[in-house]
Amino acid sequence: MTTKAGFILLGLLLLATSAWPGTVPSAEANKEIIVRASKHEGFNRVVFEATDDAFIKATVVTTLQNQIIIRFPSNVELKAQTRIEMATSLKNNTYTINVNPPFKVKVSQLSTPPRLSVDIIPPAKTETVKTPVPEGAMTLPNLRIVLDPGHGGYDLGIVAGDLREKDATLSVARALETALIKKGRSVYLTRKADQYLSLTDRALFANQKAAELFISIHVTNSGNFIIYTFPGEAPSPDSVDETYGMMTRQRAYVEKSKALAESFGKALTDEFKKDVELRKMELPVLGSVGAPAIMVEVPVAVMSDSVTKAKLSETFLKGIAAYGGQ
Amino acid sequence: MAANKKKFIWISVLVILFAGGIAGGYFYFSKGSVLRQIVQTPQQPDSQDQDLTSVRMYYPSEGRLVMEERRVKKQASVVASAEEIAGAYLNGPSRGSSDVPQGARVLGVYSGNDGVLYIDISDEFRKNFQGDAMAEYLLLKGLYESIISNVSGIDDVKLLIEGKEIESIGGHLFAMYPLKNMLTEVK
Repeated sequence: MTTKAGFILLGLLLLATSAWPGTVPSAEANKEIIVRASKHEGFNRVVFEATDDAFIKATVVTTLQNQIIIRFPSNVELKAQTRIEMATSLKNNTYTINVNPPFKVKVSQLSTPPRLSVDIIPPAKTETVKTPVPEGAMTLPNLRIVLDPGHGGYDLGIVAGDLREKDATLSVARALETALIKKGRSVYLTRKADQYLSLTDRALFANQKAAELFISIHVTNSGNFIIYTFPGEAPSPDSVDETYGMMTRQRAYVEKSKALAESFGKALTDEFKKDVELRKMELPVLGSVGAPAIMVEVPVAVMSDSVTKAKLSETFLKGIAAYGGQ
Repeated sequence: MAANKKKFIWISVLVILFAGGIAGGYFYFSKGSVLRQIVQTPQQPDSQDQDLTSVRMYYPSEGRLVMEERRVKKQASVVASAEEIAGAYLNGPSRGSSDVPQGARVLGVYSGNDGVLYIDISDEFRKNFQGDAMAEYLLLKGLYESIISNVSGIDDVKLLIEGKEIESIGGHLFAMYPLKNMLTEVK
């Protein structure tokens, strides 16, 4: 009798334990969602495709000043079919898209297949009245420009006499920033002080600011200016693009980057009467940026001389003007 | 009595002569063995030479990689060979200057199951690097080529600094991934 009661008690205990939340690991796997992104005239579209309508209907989209937050009813696993040219993140059931303000969002829930379509619409560009430009004056394109002073913090870069690369690049970037602001242009610096910033963070910053031009400033021991762009050839199957999936953003901009490099090259040659070498190298800071991007290496001799150094920002402006946002 | 005395003298002389002969022979032959040893000494470098092997090192210098043939200790294992070559690389070329950072040492070499060889180098490799993007490229390429072209059974090389992954050595290129795909040709 006692044994029987014991077994019943044990059975009840097991039932209670299994019913208690969290005591048994959930067998529910993350819901698989297919994500597609596409660019259309006047807006970008991101589509989330699920297997059932109820899941899509229970998904909530919230818009903040610079973010679109998509909350799914359960944890999800996203399978991207096309690359999303925006900074995104996924945590459990929440997917965040960082968008440069201002923007509008149009959300549509569709079926067959069940999907959620999010259209991100930037404000319509207003027609600007073109004023005649005096001969010889520069016409700067109205682009969001991110300047990247190389090195910083414990990473001194090249040290030659009194010159420290991290200080010289910051000084040139700040002078160029001032010149661009005077011309009414949007300009951002990856670092404004003597601080260490990783290569990944520099590219991330440029993408978060939705850079339309990215200029990384460095120093070289060579006697000539060197301008780097990211190589544009189709990647081999085992190339870094496929292996690490990080140096892919630049792929769409290689031609524009080349044009930017050539414009800078001509401006620097005209001003400094020095040769400018145009090189292609898989530099991570260029490869990860979704905008025309170059790295300009300035000779130590030019950086060390206050007269020639002062000419750099004006020459860079000429390079940007000659590029013109083609 | 006088005859006995004469006999005793002769016997003594013979004993002294015999003893002198033995002593002379001993010194003669022992001296000969020293000579043989001296003759054998030139053979020692030959045996050392058998413990050495020729390797091709690629050192960065003045904007390019310069190949130098070096003799390094022959090692039985892949890891030991790689450590020997990495050490020779960090020591720089035997002639001329190079852009290899001074004072850097190999702290360890490990072989991963994925065919990647991990080379742990002291912080001087990062701290004492002085160069632009091309110099950093050549520094990593030189190390990679020196290892890959002399050590068989390795697919790729990855750097660690003081036992840790580091994003970049000189602020231009990634060092946190294996080097092969990071060092595609510069045009």
